[in-house]
Amino acid sequence: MRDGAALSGLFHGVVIGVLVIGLPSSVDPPTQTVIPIEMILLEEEEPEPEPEPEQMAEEVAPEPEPPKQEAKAVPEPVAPEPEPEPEPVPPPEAKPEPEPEKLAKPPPPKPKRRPNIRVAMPDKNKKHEQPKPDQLTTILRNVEKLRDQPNRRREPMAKAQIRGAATLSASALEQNEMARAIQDQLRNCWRIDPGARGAEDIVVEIKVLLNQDGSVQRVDIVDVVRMVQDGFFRSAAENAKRAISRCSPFRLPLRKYDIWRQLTLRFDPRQMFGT
Amino acid sequence: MASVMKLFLAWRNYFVLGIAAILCGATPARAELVIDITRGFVEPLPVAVTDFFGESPDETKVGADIAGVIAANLERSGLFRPIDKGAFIQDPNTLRAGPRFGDWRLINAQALIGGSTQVQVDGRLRVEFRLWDVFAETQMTGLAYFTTPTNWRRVAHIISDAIYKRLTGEDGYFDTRIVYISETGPQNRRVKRLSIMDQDGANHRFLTDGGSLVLTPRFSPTTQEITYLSYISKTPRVYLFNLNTGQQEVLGDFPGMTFAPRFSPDGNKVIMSLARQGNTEVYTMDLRTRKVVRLTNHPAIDTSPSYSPDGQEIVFNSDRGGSQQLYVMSADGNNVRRITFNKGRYATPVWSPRGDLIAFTRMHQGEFFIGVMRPDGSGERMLTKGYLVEAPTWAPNGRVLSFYRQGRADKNGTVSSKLHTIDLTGFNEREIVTPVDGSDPAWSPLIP
Repeated sequence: MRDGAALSGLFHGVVIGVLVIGLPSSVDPPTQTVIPIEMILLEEEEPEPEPEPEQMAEEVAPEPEPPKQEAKAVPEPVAPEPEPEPEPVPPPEAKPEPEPEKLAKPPPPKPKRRPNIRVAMPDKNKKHEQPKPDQLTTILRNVEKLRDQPNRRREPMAKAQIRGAATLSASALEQNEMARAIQDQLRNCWRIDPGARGAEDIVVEIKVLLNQDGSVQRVDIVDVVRMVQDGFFRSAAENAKRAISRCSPFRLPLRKYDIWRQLTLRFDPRQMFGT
Repeated sequence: MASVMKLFLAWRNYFVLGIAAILCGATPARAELVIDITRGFVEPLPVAVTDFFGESPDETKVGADIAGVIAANLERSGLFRPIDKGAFIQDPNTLRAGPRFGDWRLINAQALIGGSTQVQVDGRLRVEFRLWDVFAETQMTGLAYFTTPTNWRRVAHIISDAIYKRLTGEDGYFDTRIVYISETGPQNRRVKRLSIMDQDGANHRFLTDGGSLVLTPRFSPTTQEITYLSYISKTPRVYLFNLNTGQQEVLGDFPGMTFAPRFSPDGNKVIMSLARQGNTEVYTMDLRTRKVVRLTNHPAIDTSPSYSPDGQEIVFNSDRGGSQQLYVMSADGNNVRRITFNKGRYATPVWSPRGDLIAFTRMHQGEFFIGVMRPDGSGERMLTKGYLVEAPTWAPNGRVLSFYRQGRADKNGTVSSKLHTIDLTGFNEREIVTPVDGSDPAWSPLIP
C-alpha cells in the first residue's frame, strides 16, 4: 500500500515536472564547426608523396622535383602530356608539315588549290538521324509556352546554311557527303551542358588529323589562350574533344581519305538553343 | 658569247622552275574541310568513382564513405552519372599505380575518380584524390587534404566541388548548407522552427524551439549569419542569427512591420520591406552603422527586394502598375523599370549569384510556377509548376535552385510541404529529404 502511494507520488512528480520544465528539447545549440582543412595539390602519378603537414596549399613533387612549377603554370595540355604518350607524339607532329606535298601530287587532275569550304548541312537527311534523348529539342525546359519568345537564333543559322550550299562546286559534293557523315557520327558523341554560363554562345573550333582507318591522329583546340583563361570555354572544349575521341575511329570511305584526312570542326551549340 | 648566253638562259629556266616548285610546295594544296557541328545531346557524363584505398579497415571504410558521398553529390547534380561499381575492372589498390585507361574505356567511363585515405601519426586523416580524363588519358586534377577523421564528410563535399569545377568550369555547391523552416503539427497550429542541414540533407539541426513563428530565412553571402522574420512577442520583426555564436538580435526597432529581409552581396547591409501606415516600401539598413535608407516611395506595395551580385541593382515586386509585377531599380532607388509584362502575378524575385538570371514565383490561372528570366525581362522560362511552388533560392554557383512544393490537403486535411531542387535548365527536379515538412529554403554560400 505504501509502495503504491510512493510510486504514485513519483509518477505525479514526473508529470508535474514535465509540465513545468517541458520535454527535453531537440534543438541543438549551434556549435562552432570551423575545422581546419589543409590542402595540397597533387601532380600526376606519384609513388609515395612525402607528407608535408605544414601549411595550406603546398605542392607535392611526386617523382622528380623539377616539374613542380611547370605543371602548376600550364594546366592540362602541355605539362602532363609528355608522360603518358611518349611514342605517338613525335611521329604525328613531324608528318603534318611535309604531308601536304605528298597529297598535293595525287590529285593533280583536279584543281590543285581547293579552298576551305564550310559545309553547314541542312538536317533534311532524317533517315540517318538516330534520335538521342528527347531533351535535344527542348534543351532548356519551359513548362509553359510563352508567346513572346522570339526564336532569334534560327535565322542566322539558316542563312549560313544557304551560303554554304551556294558555294558548293561539283567536287564539293563529295565534301558535302563526307561532312554529313562526320556530323551524323558526332551528333551521337557530343555531349553538351546547356546550363553552363554562356553555353549557347561558346563555339569551339578544333583541328583534327585522321588516320586512314578513321582513328584520330591529332586533335588541336584552336583557341589555346582561351583554354587557359576561361574555365567555361575549357570545359566546353574538353567536351568537344571528348566527343572526337569517343567517335574515333570515324566510319568513312578510305577512297575519300584525301577529303576527310584533315578537318576543322566547329562545335557550335547555338542552333540547339531555342532562346 | 653564244654559249655563255645559252648557259645563262638554261640557268634562268632552272631558276624559274625552282621558284615555281617552291611556290607549289608552299601553297595549301590540301583542302581542309570545315564542318559545323550543330547537334549534340544532353546527357549526364558517365563517371567512375572508385572507393578510396585504405590500408586499415577504418581507412577502407572512410574511403568507401567518402567515395559514396562524392558519387551521390555528382549524381544529384544531374550532370554526371556514376557507373555501377560492379562493372569496374581495375581495383582501387592497383589504381594507385595509375589507371589502365583501356579498362575504363571499356565500361564507357569518361572521367575517373580515385583516391586514398591514411591516418597520420598525429591522428589526422589524409585524403587524396585524382581525377582523370579517360579518353585523353591525362590527370585533370589531384589534391590532398589533412583534417580530423570526423570531418570526412566535409572533405567529401570539398572534393566533389573540386571535381565539379574541373569538369564544368563552374564553382561547385556541395560544401554548402541550407537553412529552412521545418513544419510540424496540424495545419491550424503549425509549429515552425528554423532548421539547418547540409545541402544533401545530412547533419540536420533545429535552431529554434518553435515557440515563435519564423519565416523567410536568408543566408548572408559572406558570413555564417542568417536574417529572418520572427513573431517573437507577437510582433513581426527582422532578426539576425549568428550560426557560430548562437546569438540572435532584432534588426532595429522600426515603427511598423519589417519583413522580406535579404543581405546585400557584400553582407554589410540588409534590404527589407517596412509596412507603415498602410504603405509598404523597400529600405536598407547598414549593419555596421545601423543607418536606414528608404529606396522606394510609392503608394503601392513594394516588397521582396533582392540585390544583383554586383550590388548595383535591385529587383523587387510591386503592384504599382495594377497587378503584381517585377521591377528593377538602381541600388540608390532611381531608374525604376518594369521587367515583366505577362499575365499573372510575380513574386519573390531572386537575382542569381552569377548575375545572368532572376528566379521568381509566378501565379497564373490557379497555378504556381517557378521561373527564370534575364535581368532585362527577356528569355522567360517556367522551370516547374504545381498547386503551390514558392520561395526559390539559388545555390551559390547560380546553377541550381531550391524551392518548396506543397500539395493539396489530403482526406484528413493534412498538407505536406517538401523542399526540392531543380537545375536551371528545368530538368532534374529532386526532393531534399528532411525529417519533417519544410518550406522557405535558403542556400548558404560555400563554407569558408
